[in-house]
Amino acid sequence: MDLDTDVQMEDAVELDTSLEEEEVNSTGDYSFNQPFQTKEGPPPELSSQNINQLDEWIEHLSKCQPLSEENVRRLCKMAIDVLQFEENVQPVNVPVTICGDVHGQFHDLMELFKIGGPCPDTNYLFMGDYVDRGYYSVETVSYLVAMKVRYPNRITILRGNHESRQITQVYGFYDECLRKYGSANVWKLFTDLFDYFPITALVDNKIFCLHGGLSPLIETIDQVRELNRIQEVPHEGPMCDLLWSDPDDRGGWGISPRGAGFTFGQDISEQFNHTNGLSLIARAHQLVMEGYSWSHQESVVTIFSAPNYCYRCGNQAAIMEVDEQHSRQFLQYDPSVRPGEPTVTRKTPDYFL
Amino acid sequence: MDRNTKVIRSTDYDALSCRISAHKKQYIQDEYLQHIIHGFEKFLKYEYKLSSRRILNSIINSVKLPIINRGTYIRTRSIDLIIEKFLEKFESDDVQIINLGAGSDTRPFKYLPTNEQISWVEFDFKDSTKLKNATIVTDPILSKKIGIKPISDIENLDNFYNGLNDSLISDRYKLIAIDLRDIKTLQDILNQFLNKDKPTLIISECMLCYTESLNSTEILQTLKSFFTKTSIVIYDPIGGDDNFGNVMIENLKIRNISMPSLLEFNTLDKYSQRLKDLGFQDVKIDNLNNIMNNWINDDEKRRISKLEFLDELEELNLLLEHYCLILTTCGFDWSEFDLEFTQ
Repeated sequence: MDLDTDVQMEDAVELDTSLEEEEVNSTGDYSFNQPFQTKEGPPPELSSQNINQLDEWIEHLSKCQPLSEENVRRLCKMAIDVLQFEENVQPVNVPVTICGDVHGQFHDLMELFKIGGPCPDTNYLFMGDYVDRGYYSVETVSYLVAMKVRYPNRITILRGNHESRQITQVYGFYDECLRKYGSANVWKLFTDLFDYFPITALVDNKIFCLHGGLSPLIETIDQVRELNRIQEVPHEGPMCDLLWSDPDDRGGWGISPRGAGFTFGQDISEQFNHTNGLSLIARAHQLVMEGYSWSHQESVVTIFSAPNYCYRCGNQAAIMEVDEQHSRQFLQYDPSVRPGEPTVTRKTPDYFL
Repeated sequence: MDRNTKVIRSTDYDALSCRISAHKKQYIQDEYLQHIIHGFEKFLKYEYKLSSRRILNSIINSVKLPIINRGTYIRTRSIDLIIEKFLEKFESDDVQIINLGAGSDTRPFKYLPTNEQISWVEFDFKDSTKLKNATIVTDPILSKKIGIKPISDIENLDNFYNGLNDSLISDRYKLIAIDLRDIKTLQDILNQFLNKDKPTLIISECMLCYTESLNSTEILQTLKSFFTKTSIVIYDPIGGDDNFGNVMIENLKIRNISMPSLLEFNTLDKYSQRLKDLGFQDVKIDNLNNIMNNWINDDEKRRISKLEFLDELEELNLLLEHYCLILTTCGFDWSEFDLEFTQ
């Protein structure tokens, strides 16, 4: 821990020095949304008033400044109006740039848009994990959701395993919301919104995109379409697997060491691609040191877009451009230099000391 | 205390807060942490006049991520396992266990009462030993565990602390204030308090990494040549030559922590060769990722994996691959040691 010696900073709060585990405070009583089906047909058009409002928010957020709680409430309401019309397998056209985990590394997300080209000039597909671990989850997810509402046909945001009430209470988003807003209200608004995020996308009927991987309970893409996704990420079952599974060198299905989802071998990937007429499964979810990594003889690609993950891992990040002819190009990048963020004020990540 | 010493000492608070977090989450069980904290509550203010409350708060309440809890688990457990194997090996002998840079380690309270054959010696900087001395002698449980009478009727805490010795010397437990870089004093202390012929296990848990390699080499040589039968277990970070290692060095620099040997002995091979060059013949070394996979049985692994959702396995592997465990033995044959080192 940081040891700024002898600085007068006594606080009046009584220390709880018992080493008993505290109960997770009252956030456990969140009410799940009642499951309901996604809506058919096109979403309502944005009014010019809303466009102005969104442009203002985006401008504000692009400076890494969080919105007020009231504006987050309005943004999330507008986002539900858009996302409830999206499908479990959201169709996406080429050209598109496909991105992996961002994890609250806001400045690196800005770097990503520099490398890949600004949205909406470039179409983007993000495969989840916007929050947790990094220090700017609030700004990151607010920015991406605002872009989604402003340019619904230019950017697709899928759900990752971290877009969940349970995981965000362990990995930082919940605490960040408390710290930045003084209450869990914003966390509640966003985690309620996450239930509406589509869970997979299909690029030109050829590239199946999702956060984690395949499920032993899903053989066809149509089966994904039948799922009821508007709920907290379950602990098991097909929706859980799609957000948690990993490809593995071993064939067949395996137990995941993560405690959720499965591992799947090359035989499984090839069968799935064959059955569904796919050329590729693109997914995120795993740290890969070069930012992208092929598996299963190029039937699966992993894309990871958080450089120097957790300010500790030293990895490169990457995004994958897919053009009209379906040719693919990977763009790799390193952490952004952050002139506005002096390193001395940053909390250093934990090591074993 | 100079700035550098103060910074190194603060690393013990990191280690302590990691153990508290791992204990709260039930990765490890350490009933003595509570007693250490009680001591810190009373006495830390004498070491840090204004910031003691904040330091204490961050020790007790900092929430560690699941990967850190798992890393703390395997760090603690692997060294415990070596201690237990050593006690098994010499079950009918009197043995000595030395912890270099012991800090707030609670192992003596755990092992002394149940193993009559051990005498335990802890070294650390004098401010650290004084704080621990005060903690132990005013705590009935800790005192009992190491076999001394607690001090109960303290009228004035300030006077008590100011008048207290830096070191605690008892029959079976010795807590000795020393800057190990002072080789002459180390030599004197060895002569005065340790028996060169008793089998001796020396623990260096994240200690050598903070020391200039010239100093750490001298420390290792002095210890090696004093004892006739000795085993040294070293836990250190490893790998200053890759991206992860570079980021670690940069991040720790922000906290003014430097790890001089990390750049020099940056692979398992080089670290192992360093010890062989010093005359240690039997050198076993591995990274903590392999140790986790090979030393912990499946039931225990299952128990650990159920405690908290692990979001990122690759990150855990990467982190654990950057810490190493070394076991080197001199003057006796320990070929029946059956925990696997892959190198």
